[in-house]
Parts: sequence; C-alpha cells; structure tokens
Amino acid sequence: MSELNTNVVENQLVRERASQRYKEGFVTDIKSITIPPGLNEDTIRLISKKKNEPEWLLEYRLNAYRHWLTMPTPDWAKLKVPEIDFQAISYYSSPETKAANAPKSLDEVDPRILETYEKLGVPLHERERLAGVVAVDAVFDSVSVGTTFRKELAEVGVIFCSFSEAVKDHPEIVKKYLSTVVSARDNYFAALNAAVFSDGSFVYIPKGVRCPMELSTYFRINANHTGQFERTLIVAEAGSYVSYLEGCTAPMRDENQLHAAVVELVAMDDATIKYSTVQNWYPGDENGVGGIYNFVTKRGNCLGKNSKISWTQVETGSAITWKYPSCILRGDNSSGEFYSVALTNNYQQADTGTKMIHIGKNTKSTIITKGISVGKSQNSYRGIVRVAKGADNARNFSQCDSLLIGKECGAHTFPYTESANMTATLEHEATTSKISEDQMNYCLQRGIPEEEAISLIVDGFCKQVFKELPMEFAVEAKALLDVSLEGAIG
Amino acid sequence: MLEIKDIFAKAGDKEILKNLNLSVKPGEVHAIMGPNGSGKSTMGNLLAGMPHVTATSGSVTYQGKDLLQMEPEDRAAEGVFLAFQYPVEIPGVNNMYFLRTAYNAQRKHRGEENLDSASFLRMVKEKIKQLHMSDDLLKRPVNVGFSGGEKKRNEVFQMAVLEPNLAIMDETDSGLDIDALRVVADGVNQLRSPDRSFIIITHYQRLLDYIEPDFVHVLVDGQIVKSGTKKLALELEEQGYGWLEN
Amino acid sequence: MAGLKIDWLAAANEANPELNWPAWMQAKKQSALENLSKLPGPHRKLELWRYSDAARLQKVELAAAVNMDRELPITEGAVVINLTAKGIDLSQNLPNWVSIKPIQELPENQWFELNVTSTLAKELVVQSLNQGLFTHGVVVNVSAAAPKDATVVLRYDIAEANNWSYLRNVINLAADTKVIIDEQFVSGRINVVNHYNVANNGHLTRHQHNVLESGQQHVSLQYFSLAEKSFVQSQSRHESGDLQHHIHWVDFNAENAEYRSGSVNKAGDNSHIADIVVVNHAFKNNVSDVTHRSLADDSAQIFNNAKAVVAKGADGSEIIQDLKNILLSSNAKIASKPELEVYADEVVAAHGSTIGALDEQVLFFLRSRGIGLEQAKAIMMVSFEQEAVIC
Repeated sequence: MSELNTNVVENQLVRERASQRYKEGFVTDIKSITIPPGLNEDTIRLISKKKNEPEWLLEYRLNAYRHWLTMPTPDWAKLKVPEIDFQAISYYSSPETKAANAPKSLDEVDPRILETYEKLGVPLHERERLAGVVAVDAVFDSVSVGTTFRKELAEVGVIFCSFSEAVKDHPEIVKKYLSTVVSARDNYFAALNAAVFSDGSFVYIPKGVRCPMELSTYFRINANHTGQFERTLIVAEAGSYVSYLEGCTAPMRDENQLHAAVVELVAMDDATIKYSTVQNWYPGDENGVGGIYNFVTKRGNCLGKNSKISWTQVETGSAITWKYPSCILRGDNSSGEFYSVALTNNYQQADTGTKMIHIGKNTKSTIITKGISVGKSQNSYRGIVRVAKGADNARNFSQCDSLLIGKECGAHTFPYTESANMTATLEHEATTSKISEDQMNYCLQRGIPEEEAISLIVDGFCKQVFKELPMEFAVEAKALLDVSLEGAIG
Repeated sequence: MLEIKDIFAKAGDKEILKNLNLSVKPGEVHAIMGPNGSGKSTMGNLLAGMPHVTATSGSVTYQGKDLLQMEPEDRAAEGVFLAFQYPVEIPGVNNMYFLRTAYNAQRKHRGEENLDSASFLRMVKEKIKQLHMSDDLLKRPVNVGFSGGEKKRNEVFQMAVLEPNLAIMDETDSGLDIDALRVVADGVNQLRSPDRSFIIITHYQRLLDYIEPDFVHVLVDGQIVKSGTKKLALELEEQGYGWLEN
Repeated sequence: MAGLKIDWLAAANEANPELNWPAWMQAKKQSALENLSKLPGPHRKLELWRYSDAARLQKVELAAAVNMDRELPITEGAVVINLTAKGIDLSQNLPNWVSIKPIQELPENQWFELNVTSTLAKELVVQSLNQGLFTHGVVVNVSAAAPKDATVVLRYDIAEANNWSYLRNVINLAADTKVIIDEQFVSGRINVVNHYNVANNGHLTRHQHNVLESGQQHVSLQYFSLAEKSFVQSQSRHESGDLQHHIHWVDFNAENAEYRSGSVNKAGDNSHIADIVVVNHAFKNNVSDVTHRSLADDSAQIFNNAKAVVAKGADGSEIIQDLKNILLSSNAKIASKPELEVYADEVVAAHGSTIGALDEQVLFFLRSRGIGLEQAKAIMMVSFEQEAVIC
C-alpha cells in the first residue's frame, strides 16, 4: 500500500525537481582567457609562463608530465569510468581582468564574478561577517580571485594566499614541502596534477600560533571544456593550529569536466590541522548526463610528535568521485581522523575512503563514515589501515555504515586492515541496511511527511560526522544533504 | 596483613591516588567509601596488579612482602583476591575448568599437590550449596550471558573456592537487588575468620547493614580523609560527601 | 604462467598417463590449459594472492614431512575414501545410502566450473590449473536414506611429497539428505577442487581438517551450491604448513537457505595461510554467517577475507561476518578484509574485524586468580578459537 503511495509521490517530485536541485548550476557570463585544448609540453610551458613561474617549478611540471606519459590509466576498482580524452580538455582558463595577473584587490575583479560568489553565498567582502569570522580565498576556474583578511592574518604571521602567490613570495617554503606528501609519481592523477596544476591555496602557520580564524577556499569551475587541477599546501609548524574549509561547485553542463586536485598537509610537533570539505560539484542530471569527475589525492603527513590531522568531508556532488584523504602517522603519539558523509543519487558513483598508515609509536586513527545511496547510484567505502612493524601500541577504530534508499542502488564496504605489530589494536565495524521501518513509522505517526522523515533520519544517521564540521559548514552541509536527497523515497 | 604507606599511583596517565595510607590487620573488615572518581577502584586494582595502574611512590607490604614487586598470579597464590566491579566474560572456557585450573595453579605455587577432579567437584558443589547458588553455574562459560547480579555472585563463589587471606571487593553491591545483595553478604560473612581480612569498597552504605565493618574509611581525591566506625557510614548516607571535602 | 605450466603439466602427464577420460571432459581440460597459457601466474598484485607468497607454489623441493603416518580420528561407522597417489581406495563395502564413482564417470550435466569474469579468472588461476590437470577424484552421491550421523570421510593421503597432485571431487546431497562430510589432509602436495551440491532441504555438516607439517602445501577451492531451504555448516581448521590457500565459494541458487562457516587459522614458523570465503546472495531470504579466528606466531602471515555480494532484488538476505585476529609475535603479520557489496536494500548486513593481541583485561583476570601468564595465554587462545568452532 505504501509502495503505491511511494510511486505517486516519487513521480510528482521528479517532475518538480529538475532545475531546483542544483541551484549552483548557473553559468557566469564573462570573458575568459582559455588556452586551446590539448596537452603536451608546450601547454605546460604556456601555463608556467602565464603564471610567471620560476625555472625550478617548470622543471617540476615537465618531469611530472614525462612520468605521467609512462603511466597506465588506473584500473577502476568499482567505478565505471568512460575513457577520458585528455587532449580535448583545456588546461587553463582565467577570467580576463585588467590586471596582468592576480587582482590585487576586489575592485580589480570583474563584478560578475563577485556576483557569482554572492549567489553561492561565499563572503568575499570583509564587511560581511558571519557568526564566526572566516577568511576566504576564492578560486575561479584556474585562478585565485581574492583572499580576505590577509592583513589580520599577516599580523600573527599566518600566510594564507593563493598557491601561485606563494611560489612568488615564499618560494623557500613551497620548495621545501611541495610533493613531500604526495609525490608526482604517486598515482596517475597526482602526476597529471603535478604537470598542469593551476592554482590552489597555500597556508603557513608559524610556530606556536593558533590561527585566529577559520580559513576557507571556494573552488568554482566556470568555463566549459576545461579541467580544474588545483594544488593546495598547508604547513603547520610546531605547536600551531589551523582549521581549513574547502567548498566546491560547478555549473550544470552536459559534458563531464575533470577535477584532479592534490592536497598536501604537513603537521609538525604538537601541531593540529583540521581540513573540512563540503563537495558539491555538479553531479550530473537525473539521467547521468554530465557531471564532474572528481579524482583527488589528499594526504596528510603527521610528521611531528603529538601532531594531529583531521579530515572531515561531506560529499554530495560529482558524477564520479575517487578520493582517499589519508594520514601518514609518522610522529610518535600522532593521530589521524577521517569523518565522512558521502551521498550518491541518480547515476553518481563514489569510491571514497581513507588510508591510515601507522608508523610511529602510540599512534591513533579514527574513521567514521556514513554512506547514503539513492537512485541508481553506487557508493563504496574503501579503506586501508596499515600498521607497520615498529608502530607499537597503535590504535585504530573504524565504523562504516551504509544506508540504502531505494532498490536500484548499491552500497559497498571494502575495509582492509593489516598489522605487523602485536601490540597494536585495530577494530572495524560496519553495517549496511535501509532506513528502519520502525524509525520511518515513528516519524509518519508524528505527522511528518515521508520526504521530511527521510531527511530527518538521514540527518541523525550522519550526526556523528556533522558534529566534526565547523559550524558554518555544518549548516551548509545539512542543507546540501537535504537538497541532494530530493526525490528519494525509501 | 596489609600496610599501604604513602602511596601515589596513577591509572594510565592520570594521577589518582595521592598519599594513600591504610593498615589492615588479620580478621579485620575495612569499608572504603567515597565519591565517584575518588580512587576506590584504583586502590583495589593496584593491590591486584592490574596493567596500566602503577605506583609512582610509596610502598605496599603484604604479609611482610613487597606486594608491588609481585606478578598478579603470585599475589593470588599468596592469598590476595579482587572481586571485580565489572567481571569479564570468557567464552568457551567453562567455570568449572577455569576454577579448577586457578585452584591448582595456586596450590602448585604453594608447593601443594593438585586436587583431583572428583574431590574438587565435591568441594565446589558443597560451597555452591552453602551460597544458595545453582550448580549449573559450573557448566557455563565464565560470565557469558550472566546478568550483572549473576556475575557478582560468581565473584563471591570464586572467592569461596579460592579462600584468600585478603579479599578486596570492588563495589560488589552495585547493581544488585536486595535478594542478590543478601546472597553476596551471606557469602562474605560465611568467610569471615580471624585469619582473613576484607576490604569492602562501596559507594552506598546499604551493604554495610549486612556486612558489619570494623572500620570505615572515606576516600576523597585519592587519599583517606576520615576514618571511623559504622557510624561514619550512616552519617555519610544522611549528609553525603560534601561536608568532608572541606 | 609459462614456467608454472610446464613444470606441473609435465609432472601431471608422468603421474597418470593412461586414464580414460570421456571426450567432453578431455575437452574441458584442454580448454582450461589453453586459457591458462594466456594468463600470468599468481602474484602479489592480485587481491587473493596479495598476502601469500605465491612463489612457494613453484618450489621444486619441499621440506620432508616427518610424521607421514598420522592417524586422525575417524567416526565409527564412517565411510572412508582414501585418495592416494594410485587412485581411490575404499576401505569397506558401501552402505545403501551412498554411492561412490571415480570422477571420470561424472555425468556431463554435473560438471561445474566457476563462471568468471576476466579479472576473476586471473585471481583463480590456481584453481583453473586444477581443471586442466586433475588426475583423479570421486563422485559421491548421498541419498536421503542416510541415517542419523551418517559420515563420509575423504582422506587426502598422497605419499608423493614434492609433486603437485590435482584432485577433483563432486559431492551430491539428494533432497532431504542429512550427512556429515569430513575432509582430512594426511599427506601430499595437494591442489583440490570440490563441488558440494546440496539439493532442497539438504543438510550438510562439513569439516575441513588441514593440519600440515612445516614443509607441506595445500590449496583448495570448495564450491557450494545451495538449493531451496538447504543448510550448510562448514568447519575448517587450517594449521601450519608452508602454504595454505583456501577459497570457499558459495552460491545460493534458491531461497531460504543458510550457509554457516567457522574457520580456525593457526600459523607459526614461516607459514602462509589464506582463508577466503565468498558468498553470493542472488536470491531472497538466504542467510550467511562467517566466523574466522586467526592466530599468527613467529614469522607467519595470515590473510583473512570474507566477501558477500548481494544482488539486486535479493531481499531478506542476512549477512554476518566476524573476523578476529591475534598476533602472537613481533614478526607475524595479519591482513583482515571483511567485504560487503550490496545492491538490494532489504538486507541486514553487518561485519566486524579486529586485529590485536589477546584481551589484556581477560588475561589479567585469569592471572589475578592465580593462573600463570603462559597458561593464561593458552587458555585464552583456546577460548578464542572456540568462538569459530560452529560444528
């Protein structure tokens, strides 16, 4: 009986859904300089020249590119990835501006771009303060268009700027840490990124400094037929603390656009880096047409004693997601955390998880993931917890739960745990199920309509992860989840 | 029997016991009360030799020996028994087998001969009867599927079989209803003797109605702040611990 | 695969040159060998061979077994089938509820081979090798006339220690049949593939006893097909040896059946043991429950894997995977992988996996009652193993 009602309501909602669903799907009509599609050494030289990069960085790119050419395309574990034509992508696009390179103030930025960010709710004007102050770096296609609160941050010695600027203004730091966490040979997309990366964020927190505000970057892909390859590097010196947020959106298009980013985090003794992501790349329409391919390598090096790196992610977008934010726990007593909510709908595919590598002594890792599959999507958790021989007293706890909403989707869990140390303890638990009838009936009995009930229950399911998000993001994440669940009736 | 002198001890990284002093003579029953977090369980765990509970300074002398230098199994063989607050479950190992192994291991340590299975069974069945417990307890794996009360009674049963010289009972009364409490109290009272001492750790004075203590000590913030008789327990029951913290 | 094939093929031809194979069976063997010539041998990049040293499969000489004459307990009244180097040896006259024929007499419609995708074919190379090279085996048919506690024992007793022996058996349980099948490894370097075909309402209790000496090797694929309302409980004990690699592959072919698997893996010295259970829930209302307990000591390595695939529409499936592992020395290694691939929503699927040392609190409890450290550890290991003994 309820199945009948279910179908009726589902059809209604499907009709209503269309353009409502991805409100970030608009295109900003501005003039962009986009280099012609294609990838060869000249493309790379062109990108490097446009950014006025020093010789060493060009060499780095070229070496990576040459190595990339020798690598086979990855064997997709559970993803069906159509062949990507790397020659049909343009590797650089930036809004045409009066200034030669990066705008020095928001006045130099095309007002339509500013409008874009306003529409997306990203506060670029410092006057607009949220409940907490957030410094923002906005990256539009391949360039950073503005970073806020730089003066205030500079006062405490915190450097927060675009990656390109960092290369110019702080080359010693960049040179010291670039690629130390994710080498250019690490995997296919890391190599590609190392060759063609455009821009990204750079954060440096000096010794003993607790960054006074949250730092965030909003990535926006706008031009078509382009790929975005951002590169982010965060270095936290001894005793420092930083909380960094990353938000991503892109317009609705029929083509698939590639996003292959690399994020490297380095934490020294007693330092803490908290990295949160709310990923809402265009997921493709209800027929699986279009959508971003999101292949990201994110890794944190807990280099110092007592260091801590914490990854929190809410993934609702992308047609295909392939990412495993990881922690290498080298320093004694270091700890790594991974909190994730991954929701897939329609024809989305997600293969995401984490790697926790325990090397130092008394290291700890915590993994809490929630996967929600709707529509015809496939959602996989893939994790590796590896305890090396010398990693005495390592402690790992993982809990990976999956929720299936509907009969056409899949939810998969592939946790690998390996230990070579007898004093280490690794524990993993997982459950896969649909929304419990009891919970559903309870809500319905209280007069809550089915869609809302699902939203409520899913929210409760994800609570453990949501509470790890900085407040601003938590609200956004919940709203995002609601929108992404539209049309899902269990 | 037992002399705890100037003990500072930590559980894991946390300092819990701060200058603890206690003296227990043979035949005495001492009650230890105190607010949560005061260190009552830590004291019991230190005496039994629990891992991660270490004394940073001070000494504990048991029957003339340095207790803290002894391995847990040796302490047991010398007659120290801790009735756990949260007894563990051991699937696949039945009570009978476990008890007989423990019993004989202790005898071996003392240079005595093993008791044969038949005699052991007879002895154990007798004790079960005295405690008014059911003997299908013996066939079941240790504490598996036992209710909280059953687990505590199993502890008392083990104590009756192993006949320790110093029995430390860590909140054995918590979670018990009146009937279960009576069984536990009876078990303890049956075992009272001039050669045997008891340290009864409890949060509520209720148990002390059934097991009359010779001394009552109050542990606050890792050390004993007041000692007295059963009257002290009644005062605490009426007034709480607040007045002691000044 | 070339090197591997030549060694083994030659050895196989030497062993049994004159058996009469029916043409269709000969064709199957031939096609297996042809496919194999295109595939690489097992290696660490494969999922199923990542944690076992596949190179050991090619060792020319194994350490001599010391205790070749092991007497394993055999239930009184059991029907014993000895699989030896010379062929099959039946120890007694057969009762009416069981019939035993050599594998060459297998009816063509009872032939089984796993229908594998190309990726899986690479993973199952060792098992495909069996298809090409098996020299003998039995077809056992058990009928519903089997009495209570009816037992059939399959003893692998091949005196030839160095050369691989490839054996292939089919065990058919007719509808409503209840029987116990014991597989016991006694000697030899064995590669065996078994098909357990359980018909409606069949009830199979199976024991796999593989306690090897330090130099010995044993690889197997146990394939179970379960019909409606059938019940299979399979108990495995894998101990020691140079290399053990076992795959249990379960297909539910109808509804309301149940598969339970308990496995105890104990590896010391330099043993490599892989214990892999794959269960496919293609139909509704089936239950699978996999419990593994593994103990690795010295420099041994154990790979513990339970995989369940629930197809779309397989509503009412229940899956439990409980893998617990203990490392007893600083040079031992364990990898544990419970996997769930779920395409249906009306399922109850849960798994848990732990790797660690013996529970400290329980260890302390035993010692606090007077039991010495070593004895306490031994008791705990027995208790730990017990959790995986289901029948």
